[in-house]
Amino acid sequence: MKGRRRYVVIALLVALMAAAVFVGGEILRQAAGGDAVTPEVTAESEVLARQEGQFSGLGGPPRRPERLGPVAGADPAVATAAGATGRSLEAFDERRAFPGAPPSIPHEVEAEMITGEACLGCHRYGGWTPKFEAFAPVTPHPQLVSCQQCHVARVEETVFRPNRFVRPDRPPIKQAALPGSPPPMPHGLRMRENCAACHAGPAAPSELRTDHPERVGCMQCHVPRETEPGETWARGQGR
Amino acid sequence: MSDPVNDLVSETEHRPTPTGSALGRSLDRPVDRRQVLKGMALQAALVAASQLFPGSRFPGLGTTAADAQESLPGVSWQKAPCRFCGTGCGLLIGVRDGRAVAVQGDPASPVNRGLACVKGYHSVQALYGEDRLKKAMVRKNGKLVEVPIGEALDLVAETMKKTIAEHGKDAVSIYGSGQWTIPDGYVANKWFKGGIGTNNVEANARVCMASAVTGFMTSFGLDEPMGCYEDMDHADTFVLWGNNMAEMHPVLFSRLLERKQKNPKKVRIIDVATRTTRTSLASDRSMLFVPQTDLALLNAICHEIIKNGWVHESFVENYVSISRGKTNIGYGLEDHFSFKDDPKPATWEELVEFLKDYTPEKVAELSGVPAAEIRYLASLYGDPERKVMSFWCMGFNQHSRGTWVNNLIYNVHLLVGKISTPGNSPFSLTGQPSACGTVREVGTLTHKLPHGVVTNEKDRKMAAEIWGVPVENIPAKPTYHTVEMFRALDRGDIKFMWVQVTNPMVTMPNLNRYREGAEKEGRFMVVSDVYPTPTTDVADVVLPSAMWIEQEGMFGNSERRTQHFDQILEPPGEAMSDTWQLIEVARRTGHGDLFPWSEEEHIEKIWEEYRRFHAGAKHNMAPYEVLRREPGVMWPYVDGESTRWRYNAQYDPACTQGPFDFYGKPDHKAVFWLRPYEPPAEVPDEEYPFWLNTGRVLEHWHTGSMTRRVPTLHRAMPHAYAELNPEDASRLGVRHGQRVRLVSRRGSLELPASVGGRGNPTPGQVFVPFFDEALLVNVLTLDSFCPISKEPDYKKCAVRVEKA
Repeated sequence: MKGRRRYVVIALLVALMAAAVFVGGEILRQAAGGDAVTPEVTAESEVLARQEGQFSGLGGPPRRPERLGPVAGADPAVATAAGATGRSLEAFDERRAFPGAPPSIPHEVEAEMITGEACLGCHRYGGWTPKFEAFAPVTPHPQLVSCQQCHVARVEETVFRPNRFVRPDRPPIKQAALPGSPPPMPHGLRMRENCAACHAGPAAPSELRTDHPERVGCMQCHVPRETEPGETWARGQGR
Repeated sequence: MSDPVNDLVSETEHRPTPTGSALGRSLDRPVDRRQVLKGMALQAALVAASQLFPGSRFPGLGTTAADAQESLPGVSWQKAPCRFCGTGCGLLIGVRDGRAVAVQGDPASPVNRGLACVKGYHSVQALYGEDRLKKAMVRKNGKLVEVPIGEALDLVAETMKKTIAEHGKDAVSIYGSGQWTIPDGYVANKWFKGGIGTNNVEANARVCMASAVTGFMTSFGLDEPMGCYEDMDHADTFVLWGNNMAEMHPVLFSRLLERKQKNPKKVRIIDVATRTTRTSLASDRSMLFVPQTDLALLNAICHEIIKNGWVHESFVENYVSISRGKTNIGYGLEDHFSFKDDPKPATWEELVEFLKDYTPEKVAELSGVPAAEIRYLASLYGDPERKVMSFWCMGFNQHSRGTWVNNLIYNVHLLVGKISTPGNSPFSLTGQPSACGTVREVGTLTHKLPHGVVTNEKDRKMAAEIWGVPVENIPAKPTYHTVEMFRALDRGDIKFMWVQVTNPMVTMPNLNRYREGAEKEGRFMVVSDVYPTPTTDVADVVLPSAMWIEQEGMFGNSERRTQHFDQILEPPGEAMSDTWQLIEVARRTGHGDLFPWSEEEHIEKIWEEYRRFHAGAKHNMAPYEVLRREPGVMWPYVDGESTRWRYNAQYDPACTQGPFDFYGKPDHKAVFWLRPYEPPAEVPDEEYPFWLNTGRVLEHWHTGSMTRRVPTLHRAMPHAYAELNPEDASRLGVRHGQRVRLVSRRGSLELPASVGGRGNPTPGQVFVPFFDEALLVNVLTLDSFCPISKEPDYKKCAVRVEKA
């Protein structure tokens, strides 16, 4: 074929293929349940189905269970705009021995999840994980890849001996100076360079979730809350 | 006009320095563009702020404890080294109302740069277990009964005096620890050797690092690594020998991973081990060898280096001498076993002849590592474009030829001249937080003094002078190393033992013998600890000890870094620091004049007296004020600077010749030792067909007396287990979680099996961690030891495995 006719034919073929893809995709989507993509979440909050009397540690033999159930702490009552579950700040805190401690892993850790790359499969970008029926939180420090050096699973809920550790209060949130002011950061930035990891997205605890994630210059408005002790400055006082 | 932002960025990125702001450190890591821009924006703001408001600081971005990242209401922060492993991370302890409530990594510490591991992050919770020992106890009619601590100290002193009067000075002994602070160990040594006059001083570092020490002493004449952690920033090849670094020195392993991220094309991490672990999976290559054949592998590497012409000839000619020692040297299984090596010089031709049998093909047959892999490993060491760092820990040290295998890894580095320069570094990792600082540097072993050895008259005279005692007090002959000391206790030659900061009734190999020995009539056991343990269970007197930051002290880590910590918390009840317990009893036994200091000043005074032993460019220790201020400094500390690379005249002021000076030896040369492969004391046979290997896990420290009481750590790792290879498990009909029985010639133990967990032994091997006092794996192990270092081999004995 020659010249212009050739291009017309190519354009028609491309249009035909695009239409086929679109229609095919639509058919598949309808088959998967149409617009109701977001799955229902049950009230179950325990991940591991334990058998009586059986040792339940260490991830067990390599296997892929159909469904591991919702992640402990996913609170169905806390809804987001998308209608999916979100975490509460309480659940967020409960995983940490004290504010700033590395959170424990609330889901079963399978034998394959032994390298950082396995963890980052879900935790680098987050997103819905059908296996645990929850949105995976995004790690604020993906460059640290020896994940299980700090983050350990909860294999049993037993105690060896009781412990009298007193947990410190978390720093208060939403301490805006005036109504509508940007609240300051009550925490530091080490290992937390990516604000969006905790403050945006469906896995963010709802109390911490920002309503303006599209503004990426976070630190232009949100400054550290406390640098030196002392709330006010006065002339001649110190520096 | 200067560009402050870019100056700051390039400065922090490339400067290998101890003080980097946390942000500078975060810029060192490869982060995506958006993060970099954010970081730069923040730095710009910081610089502007610091110019407008001089002295302003921001949480997480400062360099002192006052600028801690987390700003928690009412919480103040102070620095301390971590309580746990020999990495020696710097931590910031959050304190509110006299309680420790939080932990952060200290960004000012060059060791960990603000990162910690799960044990470090939760370390403060270990202070608050409900059954913390707060009162002294004395055994009356078979039961431990609370008494005022003064009464207990009186009893200890009286018993010591009585025992010495009736049975002589060598009937009393003290067994301390690589978790002793430096002042703890110094007081123990001074009192027992200078005051009482017995060399019955030992510490658990004997069963941990002794082979590393004798390796150093025979190869270099001086103890402790010649390099430092900064080598990790310069090396491109990391070979890990028989140690699960991802779980045991996690923060250092993370530094290797970070290094690899920066240069993934060149950097290689090779794991050479007897089982597959998290370390293997994170490495570029994993090589599995039959236990004990590490000896043969290292010789095969030297064989290949010579064969391929990779020898650094001028280095070897100028800086290496060659020796050979005895062979067929035994295993220490008999009481009173004694061994003295007989080193003889050897020639290069003898060296080549010696290595003739260690071809990769022959060693492949012995070790199970394919010849091609051995050649690959040798090529990494031999490649002149590669800077190689070797790491090892318990796999090499808890070894019946531990001294030899330490010599052999140095052989490899010496042959290619890759030593004492940035990045070229055979690095002996230390297990405990102060095995270096206390046991090795203060000399709390039977043959040692803070400087030198008891057998050397000059060293005794120096100790006598500094301690202010007659030189005749200090005995010239060593008495017992650890295994022999517990044998002596069993036999009754020792009648009194004071145990501090360690748990031998869980950790002694061939445990049944030594537990029964300690419980015999006529043995008086004093145990200082923070929690009830199987060792306090056999005590006649239990003394409650202050734990870690409840006393002022210092630790010395793997890289020769001494770190000071203040007393940050009050100890509970009547708990008293180990240092002060020793001083109180010494005052009661008539040796108070050796410790004339008040409680307020005693740590500073002890430090200033102790540092006199190490004066000089080869070992100088920093003054007290410097230690208090800095996140640790390395010795030798000369003219205000830590010596990072020893024996290299460019970095080490103690060198009198250059460019290298191995001044630990009279001829200023390091030694290449001809050491053969010899099998372990007990190998699998028909009746006991499995190797038994023991070790640790990330979550638990040693015998778990502290970490099991931390809820997060216990919940992550609640029990010990027997790790089986899936093939073996399937053959035995054992599934994960089912109970198995391990039986050795010495005892038997039932445990749950772990199949497909975080570790995978090779077929025919079973691995058991030793943190669980309810599952005492040491009833199975064998008390064979390296005849030179006297360190037991916890990694090799024979068991049979049955379905229980």
